[in-house]
Amino acid sequence: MPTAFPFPDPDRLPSKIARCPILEAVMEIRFVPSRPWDHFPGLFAERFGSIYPREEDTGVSQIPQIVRDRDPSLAHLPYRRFVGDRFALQAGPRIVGLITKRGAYPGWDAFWPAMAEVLQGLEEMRIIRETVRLGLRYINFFDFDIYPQLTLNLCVGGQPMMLPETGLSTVLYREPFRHHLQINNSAVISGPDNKPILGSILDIDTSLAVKAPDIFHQAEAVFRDAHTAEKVLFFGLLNPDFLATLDPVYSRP
Amino acid sequence: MTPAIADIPDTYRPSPYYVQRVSDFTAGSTFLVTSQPNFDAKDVFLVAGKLGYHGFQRIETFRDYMPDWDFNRGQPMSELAYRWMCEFLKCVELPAGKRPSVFLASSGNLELAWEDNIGSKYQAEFGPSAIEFFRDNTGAEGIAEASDAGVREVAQILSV
Repeated sequence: MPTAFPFPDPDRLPSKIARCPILEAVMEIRFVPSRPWDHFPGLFAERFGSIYPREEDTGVSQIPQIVRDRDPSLAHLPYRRFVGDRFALQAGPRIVGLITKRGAYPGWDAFWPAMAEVLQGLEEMRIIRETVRLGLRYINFFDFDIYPQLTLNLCVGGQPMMLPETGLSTVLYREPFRHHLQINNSAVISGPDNKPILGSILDIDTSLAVKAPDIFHQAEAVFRDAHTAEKVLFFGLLNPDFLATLDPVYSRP
Repeated sequence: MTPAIADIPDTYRPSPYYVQRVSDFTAGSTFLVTSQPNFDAKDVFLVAGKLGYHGFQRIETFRDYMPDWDFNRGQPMSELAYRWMCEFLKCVELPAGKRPSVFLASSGNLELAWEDNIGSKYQAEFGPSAIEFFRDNTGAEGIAEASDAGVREVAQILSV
């Protein structure tokens, strides 16, 4: 059951950080569909084609049905991707998600309106019978070992554990949200010209399990609160001295 | 209590009680990344414990049904119904040694049915907003609101 939230609440939250580590952000809705998947690509192309004109197959639908049915982790993967200038819209039989371009997070004030447009389109298309889960995920990347910069410490027999390939996955509850926190100090991402960059991933997936059939009209408040909750966890995880090196910007009171 | 290794079924099939994916770190090809799975280990343990392996597997199969199953009449399984069913299973006292059978209605509702040790029948059907129930040996029958209080009420009526 939910336990005490172990990380300190920051005294104040930056409105942004100049040296932004966000590699990718995802805003996602999971649902029970009211229409078969076959209907989706055409509906999406018609409703969103002008904003997200380039359509791609993610390859997931090519995985044999028997494999998809036996692996629950494949149930919420997107089958089609609709790529626009700033974001990509991804859709599967049970999910729709909006993803920022890698390394080009435009800020919440641009991200939310794009998602609001997606939600409006979903409501018009009437493809959702029941909303199951709203999720907001931020994947941050640092080109060094992030563990020494965190308020979280890994120790063995009281001694700090300093290992070059260490991953941590844990779930934290703070009502009404569930945070799935993953940290890994041996991630490789592709930089400019596909140059590999070794570093750390700090990945926070904040979600809300929906308990009412109709969530559309509350979605903005839920996502905004999830964003704040995710920021509280993220900034609570960073050592204040390290945070200062990222050049945080605080809004005027 | 943790089972001894000798008690665990000898099988090479992957465990169906898959609750967390820890290998989802992105390694360059991040555009496929989506939000994490949200399987709750406690719910999986509860459902598999109360309904057994086959009951759990049936629900996993129901989840794969898409709209228009059942000769174009069927609706997919309601996840809200599943949530209320889990809450019910936490509260209800089932007859010793009995495991309810689970069914998917065309409406997408989940139904549990079981008998007690003298053959009396019990049923509960969970929908997104209501729970229908029936108990043979007392004649109790009705519809309760799908809410924490409604679930507790139905569980009390259907407990042995």
